[in-house]
Amino acid sequence: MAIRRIIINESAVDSITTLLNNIPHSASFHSTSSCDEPGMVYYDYNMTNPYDDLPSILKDISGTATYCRDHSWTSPPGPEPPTYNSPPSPWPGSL
Amino acid sequence: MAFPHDQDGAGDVKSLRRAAWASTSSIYYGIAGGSTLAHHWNDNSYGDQGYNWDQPEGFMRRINYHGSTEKTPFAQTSANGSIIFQNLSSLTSLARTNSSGDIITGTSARVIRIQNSTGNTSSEVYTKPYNNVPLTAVIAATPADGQWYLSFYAKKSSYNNPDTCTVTAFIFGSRYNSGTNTYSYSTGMTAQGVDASSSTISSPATGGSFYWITTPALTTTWTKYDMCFKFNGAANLSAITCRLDNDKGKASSHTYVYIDRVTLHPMNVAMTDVKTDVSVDLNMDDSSIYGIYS
Repeated sequence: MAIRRIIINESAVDSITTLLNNIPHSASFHSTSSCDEPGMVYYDYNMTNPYDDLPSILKDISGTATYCRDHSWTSPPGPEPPTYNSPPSPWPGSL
Repeated sequence: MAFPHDQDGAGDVKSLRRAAWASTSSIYYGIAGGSTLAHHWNDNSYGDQGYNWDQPEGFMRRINYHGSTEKTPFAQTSANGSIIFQNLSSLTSLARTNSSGDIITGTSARVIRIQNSTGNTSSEVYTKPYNNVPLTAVIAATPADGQWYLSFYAKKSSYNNPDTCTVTAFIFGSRYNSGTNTYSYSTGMTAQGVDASSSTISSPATGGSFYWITTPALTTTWTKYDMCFKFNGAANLSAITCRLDNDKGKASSHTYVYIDRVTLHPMNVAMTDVKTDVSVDLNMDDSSIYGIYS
């Protein structure tokens, strides 16, 4: 289980929790804690499919909270499984 | 002046900008998957020179040009969705790249239609592949702090007129992972998402390794949406992938959104940023970046 931290306006905590309970992604409320910014809180949520769902959940939260800023993994996900067969070569240049 | 500059339908111009960005040593490097790589990885040959960064779509894949044979990165969708490239008329009159690689201004073209059959207004359908992808699904190379501009036109189907439909476009800054030989927005780098829906050219979104724009509720009239953003310099961020979402389904039914002429252009680029190994006065005779156009 991975845990993602965002910063949101404090008044949005309940609505974001409700949102996570209703969207079809595997996310759920974990905890809130204070941050240094007035009116804002750290909001941590659990994710069981972190790589697939991270963009979608951030998009949904951002559409609900007045303020939302992605922050970090407080409990990082495990290794990401490869999805595609490897191509024969990386592209040339600086990589 | 139309934005972006040099997008005035001048045709297949062998411009300084095109030449520089076609260089394989550029850190802004357009990737056109499959057989149209600007520089083919294994035989040191160059791909279709009709693939011109000066064209209206910029670095974005142009579905008119590739037609039905080159659909990546919009080849698939998530569950309960589908994507087709559909010929439509009555579009906004715009310059687009046609199937011959020429720039044509008109109101008929191939557009993207994404169907959402999830049956749920909270469930999206999104295009794939965009993460853990091979080179062929990468849009472009980018500096870790590159600044970009994305635009597209969108509408909902008249079939959906009573329904609320929105589109989201994601751009992911990704890194190359040698272990899997794929590009990922999350593995091996710190993913940081930022909503760029309110960004403008004069005030780009910042701080993110990936960005998105979600439209307001679509109408049945073609409307332009755009975002401008600057990658946050995350270590190893070097490539761009893209995903398009039909954000909302409909109970016991479907929703359809149409997307026309997606563009992606680098912003505020200095020549020294295009080709970091420039240490001498390159000129138009320098085969290292211009010779392929002779």
